[in-house]
Amino acid sequence: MSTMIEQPPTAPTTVRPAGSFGRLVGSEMHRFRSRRLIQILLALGVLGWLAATVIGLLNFGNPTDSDYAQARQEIDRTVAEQAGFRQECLDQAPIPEGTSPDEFCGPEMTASDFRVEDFVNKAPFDFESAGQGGALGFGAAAAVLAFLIGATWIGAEWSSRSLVALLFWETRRFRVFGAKIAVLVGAAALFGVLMQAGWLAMATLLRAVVGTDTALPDGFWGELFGTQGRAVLLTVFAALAGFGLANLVRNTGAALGVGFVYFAIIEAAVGAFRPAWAPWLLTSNAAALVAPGGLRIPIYDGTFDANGNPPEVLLTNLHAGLYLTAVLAVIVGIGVVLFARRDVH
Amino acid sequence: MPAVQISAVSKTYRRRGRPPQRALDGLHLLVESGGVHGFLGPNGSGKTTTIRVLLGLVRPDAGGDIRLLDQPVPAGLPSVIGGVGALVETPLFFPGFSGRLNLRLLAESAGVSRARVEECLELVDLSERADDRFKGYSLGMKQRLGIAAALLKAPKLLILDEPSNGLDPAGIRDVRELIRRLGSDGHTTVLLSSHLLAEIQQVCDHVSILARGRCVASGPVAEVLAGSGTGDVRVRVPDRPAAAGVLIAAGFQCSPADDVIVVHGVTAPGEITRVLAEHGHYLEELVHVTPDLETAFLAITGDRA
Repeated sequence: MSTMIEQPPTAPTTVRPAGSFGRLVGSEMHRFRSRRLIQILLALGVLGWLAATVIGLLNFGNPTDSDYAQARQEIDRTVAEQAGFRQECLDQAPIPEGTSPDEFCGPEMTASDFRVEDFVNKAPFDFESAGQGGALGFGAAAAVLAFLIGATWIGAEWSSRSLVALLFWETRRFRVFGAKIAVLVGAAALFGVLMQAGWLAMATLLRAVVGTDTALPDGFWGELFGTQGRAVLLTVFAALAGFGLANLVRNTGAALGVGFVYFAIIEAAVGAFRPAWAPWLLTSNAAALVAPGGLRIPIYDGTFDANGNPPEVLLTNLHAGLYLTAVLAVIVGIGVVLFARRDVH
Repeated sequence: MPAVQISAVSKTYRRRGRPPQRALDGLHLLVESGGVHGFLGPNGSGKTTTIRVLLGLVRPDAGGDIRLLDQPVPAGLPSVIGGVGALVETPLFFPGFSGRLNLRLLAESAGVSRARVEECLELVDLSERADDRFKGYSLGMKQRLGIAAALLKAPKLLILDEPSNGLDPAGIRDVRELIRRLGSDGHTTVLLSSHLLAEIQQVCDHVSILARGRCVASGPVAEVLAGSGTGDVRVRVPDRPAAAGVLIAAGFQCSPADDVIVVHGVTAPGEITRVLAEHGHYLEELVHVTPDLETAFLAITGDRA
């Protein structure tokens, strides 16, 4: 440290106030981009996209007319086989009173009950039928990664206590958290959009190489974009959930542990022992938020309607969105208020 | 304008299942602008709590008044924090980032230039290792990075809590030299908390001593030392036994030490000269025994036992 004494700094004559919120956000964006685990998680997202694309290319195909003819023959054979089984059932078993033959032995099947694409060795990629499912799948993957990113974003800051060092520079704790949350929300939204763009890119590629060339129906894009938009919202929610949990327990690993206990144990236990609570589970509402029209959840509580079906609860997109917002407000809000009020060591 | 003014500030830590702990007990502290102000106290005396209260990290009990660079704490902190650099206990940086990146992120949040980051890295001799990850740094390097971070803002008030921790002897010397220079530049006030009494004695102009959450002594280092003096005087004469007998007969309390006589509780040293001269003993040396800071510290804090 021999150079240390040669050039001591000179203090300014006036005292500079703390930096602006914009500067703080800019600094936090730089910090976010520099975090290695976040870079790794994003790289994993890219690798996952590549793997899914390759798997899609290998599992879809362009069947020939001969393949289709063979598939139709197979459908005819299946229909005939099923008809034989049904007739056997009708001939042999006495049908209980009050039960129709269709209820007892199943309805008669025809070739129109089957999709010919299901009977070719490699079916072509059908964007019309796969569009919504792909958006949901990419949304779910984005949500899981966003949860991890949100948790490590604040959890590692607590573990290293580098968050405390920041308070020597910006003493307004709400500002510090505001900047961190703003960066996380922005990054999660961008990540969600990129994931959905990734799905569209993959679908376009699959459609061009191994897909059907049938025209997409009217309203297809509107419904798909609606689902994708809600999937992006779910990605942001998941990031905030990870952030909120890690902030409460002040550690990334502990937050992931809490998440595991909730999703793997508590939700399973609720499903098994308190099925009526299913509409209040986070996964139910997450699915209801993204799925077109929301989600109908059967409640297996021992009661059935006139058709023998369990009662259902409809969770609409709006209901799920409001519920998840309220849960997040509690999780994130408690952590932020505690941080603002408590002593920091 | 004082750099730090603390009046009647208390802080009680409430602990689950244990009685509350009073870390600060009506603390009064005044640190004038300029120079190096030492902050001494035994473990648990409230030094670090005081620094945390000053920086708004810890909320004091109701009542009391704290002002930092003439602004009330915590309400006025945002307007002056840009002029306060701090290193509190261990340096807190993100372990996966390099030293340079850690400093740049802090600098960006306050609009401090990258050139200033490089200047501070150079200042603490870390430029060559600035791209290494923080977690790979030695304790001394971590400490130097912490000092660099505290200097980034070119602060008017620099708060250093045990800055010599982990440094090698050359590093300690350089840090002390830097603190001295900063304290004498006319613009910077350094508040140096240290358990190294020699460091405080070497570097500081003023000192405040804390014990049990209160400031028990404060002022220029020389005055604090004198105030805790015992009035001992060291006397050297050719015939030590005979001179000691004369002094004892005249009512002085004496004790022999090596080749001198130590006379205790002396309020007027000239009286010793007169008594000895009247009996034909002529002085070779008469020196007021000045206690070192360690003795003063132990006496003031009541930890002599």
